[in-house]
Amino acid sequence: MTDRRELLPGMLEMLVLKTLSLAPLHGYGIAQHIQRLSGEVLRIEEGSLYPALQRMQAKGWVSSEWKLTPTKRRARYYRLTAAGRKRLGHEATGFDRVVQAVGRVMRTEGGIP
Amino acid sequence: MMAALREAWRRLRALAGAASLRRELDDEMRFHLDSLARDLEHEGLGAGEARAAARRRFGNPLATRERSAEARGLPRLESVVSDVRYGGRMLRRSPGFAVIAIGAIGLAIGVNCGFFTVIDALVFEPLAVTDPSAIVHLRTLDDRGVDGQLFSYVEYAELDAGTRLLTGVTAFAWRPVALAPTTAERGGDALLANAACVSGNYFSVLGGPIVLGRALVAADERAGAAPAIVLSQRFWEAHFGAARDVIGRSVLVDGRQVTIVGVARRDFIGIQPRLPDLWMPIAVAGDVGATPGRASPRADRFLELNGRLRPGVTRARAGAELSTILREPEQREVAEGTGRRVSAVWLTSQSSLVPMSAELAMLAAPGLLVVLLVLVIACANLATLLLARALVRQREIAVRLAVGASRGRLLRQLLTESLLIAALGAALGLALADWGVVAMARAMFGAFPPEAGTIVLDLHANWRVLAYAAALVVVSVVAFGLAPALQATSPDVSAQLKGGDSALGGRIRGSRLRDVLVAAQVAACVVVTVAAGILVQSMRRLANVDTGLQTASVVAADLGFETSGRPPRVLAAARQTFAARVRALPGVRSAALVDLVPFSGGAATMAIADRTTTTAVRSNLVTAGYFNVVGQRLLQGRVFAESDNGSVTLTAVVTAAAARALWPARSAIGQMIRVPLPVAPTPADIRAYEVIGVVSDARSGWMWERDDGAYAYLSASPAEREALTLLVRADDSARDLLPVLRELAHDVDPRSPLRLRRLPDVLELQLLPFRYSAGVAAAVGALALALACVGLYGVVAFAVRQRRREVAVHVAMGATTSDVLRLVLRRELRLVLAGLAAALALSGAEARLFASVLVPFAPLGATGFVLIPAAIFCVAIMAILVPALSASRVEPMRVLRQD
Repeated sequence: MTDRRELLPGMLEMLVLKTLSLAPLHGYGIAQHIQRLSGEVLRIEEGSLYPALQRMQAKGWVSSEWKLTPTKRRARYYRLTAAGRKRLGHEATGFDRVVQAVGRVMRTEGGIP
Repeated sequence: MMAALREAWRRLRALAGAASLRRELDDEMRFHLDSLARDLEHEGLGAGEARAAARRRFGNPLATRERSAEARGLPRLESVVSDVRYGGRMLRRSPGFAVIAIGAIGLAIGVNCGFFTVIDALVFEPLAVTDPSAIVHLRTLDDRGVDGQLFSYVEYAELDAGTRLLTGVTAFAWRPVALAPTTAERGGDALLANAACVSGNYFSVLGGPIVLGRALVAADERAGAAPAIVLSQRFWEAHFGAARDVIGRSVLVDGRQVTIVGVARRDFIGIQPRLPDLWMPIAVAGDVGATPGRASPRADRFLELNGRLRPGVTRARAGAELSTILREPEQREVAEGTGRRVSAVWLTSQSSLVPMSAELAMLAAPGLLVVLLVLVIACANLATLLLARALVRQREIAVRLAVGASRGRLLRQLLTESLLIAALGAALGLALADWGVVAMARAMFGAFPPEAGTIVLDLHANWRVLAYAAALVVVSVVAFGLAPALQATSPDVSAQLKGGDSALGGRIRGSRLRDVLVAAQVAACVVVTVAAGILVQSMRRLANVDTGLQTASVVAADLGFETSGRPPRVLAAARQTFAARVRALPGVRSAALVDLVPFSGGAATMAIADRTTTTAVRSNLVTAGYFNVVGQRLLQGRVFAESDNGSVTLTAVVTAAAARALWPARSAIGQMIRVPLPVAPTPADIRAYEVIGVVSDARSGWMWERDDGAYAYLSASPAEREALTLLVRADDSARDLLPVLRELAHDVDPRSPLRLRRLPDVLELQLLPFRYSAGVAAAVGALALALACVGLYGVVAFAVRQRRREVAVHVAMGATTSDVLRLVLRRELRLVLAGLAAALALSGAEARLFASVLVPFAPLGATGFVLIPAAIFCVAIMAILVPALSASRVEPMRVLRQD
């Protein structure tokens, strides 16, 4: 079994935005995409994904419509809006800065003074 | 603001689309599950297996759907609706609980709203004048620190002419007058009317609307102006048939011909809750002698003054200006001995009938305390009931927590149920308060004699009362709903699922809260009942005051209203004729004329001087026979005789208290006293009276004040304008005398609006407000007691049900009824006793508070302090005993087999 990690709060939304920036997808597709790209490290809880999607829709970051899948099933496809794209840029910058900052701290040599 | 509106709109729309939103979420979940299952199948699992694994991995679809719906925002509103529906279902399912809960909270909120309605009508309802917030009431502080509210005409004129910071000062005085048609052929008897004697600028300063003709104006007040009056719309409709040609019509007011110039609109009542029948200029009132005239001396203070602040002017600044205006002429005329030296004029707001003040807050505090305590009892009552229900619903709640309902969601649901109870209760309470207060006011004002006038007090619920009720709802929901809801949804409730109803942790905490609630109910109940006891006892004491007079069969006949414009001498003769003919009637023992009828109010205090000292003494003008009529005993000297009339020296009789105060070392008989007459034409008109007798002390003013104390009865000749009322003492029942007197009066003056009053009725009138408040207090006390009993009964009944297995085991082991009772009752008894002990400590402080605020409130006697708690104890025991006894009659085997 792969070593699975919990997502930090706020990261789920960023990952969803990033995923949708590539192409419109349904909820299941979003979960699968993130799981696959993260090398099965990040597992998306449905219990958090759908409330997050509703929340983001309410904030106007994503829009949704019901469409047929290639296998002819009805599914709700989410699409990134302009506001969502802006938000993604904002989140990504913030995330980079946090990662670098955390990295600097973690790479510090020597023990605690 | 816009964002909030948009958000609200979005929520509303989402509410409308809530059902479809839910359906969509369901579809989405199903699609997710199917896709997951298919992928798992691709990985090699069997179809059924894959489905089960997908379900496992997905977690709780219901919970996910709920949370997604919640994340969408709108659903909160939607869930409110469904919560209300759910709450309604729960209440319908247990109608007994619903009736008790809604009834209890409804009665309590009703009592509170009723109290607030009265306060609101007096304190918060703005006066029906233009911009009431700028209206001020003028008061004075004299150099001895005495607060005065009355001014003389001279003072009024100086203030109105001198002020720059007020748009005007207006003057006002109440007087009853007789209104008659000018000519006999117009027909009809004279009417008794309540006149507002006002300054000419009264309508312009206050902003009084007119429906017909014109308002009074400053010119009506000038010397030589044609006498004009304005009628109230109500009076105009009742007595002039709303005839439009009434304008310009002449009528006689106290015999003086005046012209009706206008009709004031229905809603204009001025600054008091009494609707005047007519408004007349003080100039006219002075001419007919209803009030002192414009030329009356500075010492004649009979006017209430109001004013309107100019924009931006503070009351303090305006007060300082008015003080300066008044001080200067007073210093000039100080030699006149005006009886008062004003050190300051101060202004109080008159934006409503009784604007809020510290004094008023003190007065209202005991009443507010009592009604709030009733609400406390109802809330404690409901909280215990809800706690009991929470225990019953433990399983239901634990199941819902387990299937993924969040604690917040459940809390909201339980609180919505409480809110529903409180809101329904408030609706019931508002209806009760609206009906009760109006009905009571109608009954009380209806008992007032016609001369009290039409009392105008809007006692119907308005938006302020509704807001108050809403605030009470919120407060009571928190008070009675929050603790039980928190407890019901507490995390260890899930333990209930596993352990049946023996989850000890929850129960013990619940019990402690419950214990406090039970004891608090008992304590609050005692405090409320003691308050009611204080009021009822004060009332009884007032009603049984020994007045020192025997007036059961005395009738007062007011003869003073002059309708025909005859000269005073002729009128005096007519009065004497009437008095003589009354005395000659069979069944009449004695009759005398008097200025101030006993029990109709406090007598004016005046400075009475003998040779060396000045003492404040109350006085009355009476004619020969007065002491016989009212049954006041002669202690020394003699009383007035018919022969005193027309003698050179005026005579006076004083009370024993006056004799002690004025001449402690000497006999009062033969002493001279000097008295400034109430309506003295000049300051020099001070009359000397020789004291000829001393009579017993009496209480003829307000019953809640002390005895009259130093009181002087001055002999009045029947020609005196002040001695207008004939007091008649009959042999047995004075009632039989009324028609005879009426006939006789008609004989003497066919158009005289004779008013007859029995003295016991006059006395009853001043007790009326106390009787009503005592009645209300008794009802509120009974309500508190009933609520507390229902609460105790419910608590014990529930506790007994909880412990029925324990009881059954005891009975099975051979316990007797008394053993069971002891087992069941021990704790409740302790709670009741604890509540009683706490309440007794509080009640002592309460009695002191009442006595300090309102003088007539006698402190509750020791018997009250023993009797009331004892009675409550007995009632509480009954409430406990009934369910406990039924518990002791359990059939052990049936109970034990049940579980």
